[in-house]
Amino acid sequence: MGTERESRLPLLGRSLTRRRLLGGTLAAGSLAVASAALGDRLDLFGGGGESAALLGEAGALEDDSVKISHLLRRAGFGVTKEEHDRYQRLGFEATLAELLDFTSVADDEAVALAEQLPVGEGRIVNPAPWWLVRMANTKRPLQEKLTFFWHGLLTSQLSVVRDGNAMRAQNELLRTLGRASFPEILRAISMDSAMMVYLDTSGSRRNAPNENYARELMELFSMGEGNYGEDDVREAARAFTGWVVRRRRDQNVITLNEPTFRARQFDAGAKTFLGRTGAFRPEDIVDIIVEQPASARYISQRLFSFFVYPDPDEETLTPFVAVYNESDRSIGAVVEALLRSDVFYSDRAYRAIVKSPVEYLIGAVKALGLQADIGQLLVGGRGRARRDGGVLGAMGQVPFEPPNVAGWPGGADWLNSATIFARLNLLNDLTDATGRDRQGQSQAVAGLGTAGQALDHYLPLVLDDNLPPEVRSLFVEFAGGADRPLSPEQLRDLVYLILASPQFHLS
Amino acid sequence: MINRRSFLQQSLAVVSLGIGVPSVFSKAVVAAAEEKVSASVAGKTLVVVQMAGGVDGLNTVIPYTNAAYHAGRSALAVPEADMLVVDDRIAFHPSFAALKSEYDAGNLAVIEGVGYPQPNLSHFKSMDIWQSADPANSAGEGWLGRYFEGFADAQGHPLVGLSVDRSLPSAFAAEGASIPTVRDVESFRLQSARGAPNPDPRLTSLMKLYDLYRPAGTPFAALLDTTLDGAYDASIELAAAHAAYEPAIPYPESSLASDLRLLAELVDSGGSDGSPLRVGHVRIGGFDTHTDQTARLDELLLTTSEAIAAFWQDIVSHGHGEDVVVMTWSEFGRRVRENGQDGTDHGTAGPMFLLGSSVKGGFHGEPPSLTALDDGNLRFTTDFRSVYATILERWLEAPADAILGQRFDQLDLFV
Repeated sequence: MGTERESRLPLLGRSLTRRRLLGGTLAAGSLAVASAALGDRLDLFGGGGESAALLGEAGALEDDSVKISHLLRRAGFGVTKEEHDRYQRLGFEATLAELLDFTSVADDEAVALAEQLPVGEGRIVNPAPWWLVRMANTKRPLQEKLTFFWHGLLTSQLSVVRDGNAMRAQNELLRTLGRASFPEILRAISMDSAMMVYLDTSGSRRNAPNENYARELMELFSMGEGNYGEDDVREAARAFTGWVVRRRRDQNVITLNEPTFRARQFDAGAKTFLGRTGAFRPEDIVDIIVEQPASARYISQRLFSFFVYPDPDEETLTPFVAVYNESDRSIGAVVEALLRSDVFYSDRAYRAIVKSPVEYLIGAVKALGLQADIGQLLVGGRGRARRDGGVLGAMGQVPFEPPNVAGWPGGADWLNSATIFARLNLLNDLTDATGRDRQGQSQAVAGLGTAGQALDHYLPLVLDDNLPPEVRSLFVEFAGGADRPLSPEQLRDLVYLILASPQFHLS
Repeated sequence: MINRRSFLQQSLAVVSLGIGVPSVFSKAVVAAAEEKVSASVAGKTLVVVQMAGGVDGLNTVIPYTNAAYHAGRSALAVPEADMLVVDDRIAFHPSFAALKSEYDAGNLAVIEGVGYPQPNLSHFKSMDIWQSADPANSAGEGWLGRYFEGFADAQGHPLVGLSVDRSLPSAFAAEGASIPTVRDVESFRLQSARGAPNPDPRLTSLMKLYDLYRPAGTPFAALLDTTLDGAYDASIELAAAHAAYEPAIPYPESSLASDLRLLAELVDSGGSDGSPLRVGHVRIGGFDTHTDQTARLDELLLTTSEAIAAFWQDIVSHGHGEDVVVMTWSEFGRRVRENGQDGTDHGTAGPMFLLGSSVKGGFHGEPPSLTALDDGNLRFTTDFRSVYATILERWLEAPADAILGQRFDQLDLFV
């Protein structure tokens, strides 16, 4: 499904550009009239009316400082002002080296901070705040970003699994194995209690195998639709029979046990799967899958689309497939190759990804210096808003609650009329001084007095200091001049505007 | 409240931003000044209800006298005492009482055995096929997107289409139309800071920021601008519709019911001019019943049936019964033979429902055979695109051949 959704992106992008360019016509008359009057879209695209703002963002990544910020957005969740300054001093090579060698960086503070969160009430413990605190405070951004990648790919839904601790255990598994070999990761997730409950491996028996996991393993986790047949689904399903994850109920709290194997319910017979025949077990199914060229392409494509830009062409992807094949299918090797590649720092990659809601939230929270308080920010809300995941739900991404087994579609799907309001309203809340600290002072504007100071502080931090001059003038005009002393409310509104910039939605 | 374009026009007159207004944008402002943006056009409304996950059609529209049904469903067959018998061949699931009443009143059409050639058993692929109506290029535009783009008489109204969901259904994806999505009306507004004046100068600057960001080769820049633009206009229209509306009957407590209520508000908002909404889209998920099917389907069908019936009664009470039709769809049905975990696996053909005063109630299409199967799955008897073609031509008065890319036989679904 990943490739299908991604291939839709250019289509949507083109289309909306056209609508944008035709905005006046659309407002005045019918769409049919607009379409008839349209002529060649390409002419319109290249046509007149270019302002300086239309000239584009080519060459931005030639600047080392922008390269570092780009890298920290992709291999992490953005930075605080202190982190920004520190990485800029370190320089590009040292920053990249530290990101990649994350096991040598101590992360005890973030881990401890996350553990301090009060355990949620009710029947299902929700591990989302715990993880978000780690994301916002970690000193190992790439580790959390890779965990986030896997969570979107080998995903499960808390509302189906109904054991928050099992979901957290799955999350820890993905964190621990984030850079391991792909078959190792697939073998582990296939025997993960939460996954086995989520996709019905648990309880599947020889006389009537459940096809759910076998199908999604191939379609969504490892190969993509079209690279196997319905017979392969049925045969693989037989190999996943015999396993049970027992549920314990204690005062309505559900706890999943470790999976157990019941040989009598396992179909031990010969299976014919993707052209091979044998008395296959789950690990054999994984081994046969990863031998398929489609699998190497699929996982390389998913990693590329997550870290670099969506929907790479064959030629661009090929070297990374080769790295995968030549490294014993090592995910860590592919990730390192991506982060060191020219294409990662190409114009095509710059601001080419729509930040997911989690990235948008964590990025804003860190930029505003609120990362230590993120747990409290997330615990708020009640009623339907709380059930729907609060601000993250409104933006369309609640961790541990993807819409379905395909994870979050991402890309252009992140942006619709409802989610764009939710993103901007989040910034409205975050930049508002109310309740942020005891002095009534918003941390977002602490130490700032003029528009010039606010721009100096925030533009390099969140917008790479890479803006057309009109936009900078717009900020200054809004504040009534660069050097005019501003009230806390005026500063708040200016900081809101900077973060609300369209560029901040993009990574 | 004023809409975004006139808002900007007013604000631009009083706030000097020191930057030129891009030419396209000034055209929009001028156009908006000359013509009321919310001009409405009388017309018919289609409400699409997606039942996501693959509904078990055989336990919804039950061929209860067919021996093959009982042979395949030793654990899951609905007890005859509970089912809602229609005739000596078919009964509805017990949870379908509310829609059974509409069936008895002649308002509900059931189209049996709906599917397409070479069925795909992936949720996502099959959903794309249903939403694009194009199995060969299912990642392309949506069938309703093509309708909006070429044939809906938009008149610039921001709500000719509305999806009430977390994200835009791909049925609405189009090159030349951008349809809004809302989760609920309460949260669908752009907040100003505490104590902000009205109009809020920060909002003016915000809109300018999005308008100014037009780097070459970045597809998302235009998406961001059109999304914010459309959302702002839609939020004002929707808030007005919501404030003016009183439902005629209490809706059940469910997301689907709330989502449908929002569409009812919008249908009613055009007053004597008629509904501005041409197509609304809502979704209920969870039908992927690989395990514990009986209890799950009981609840899901009850929620669906009661929400749709309440919406329909509300629509009729407000005098719009002649102007609204509801259509349901699901990406596939489920296997005839149950699996070993009190569930069913992915299948192929299933029933579609069509509800409305203008609908010819009763059963349509040919019942699929329960014994002549392909790999244990039903062979479809009606192509879903025939249903689409009928609705496009007969209800939305749009050229089905152009929208669907080829000719499909039409059914006799409307009175």
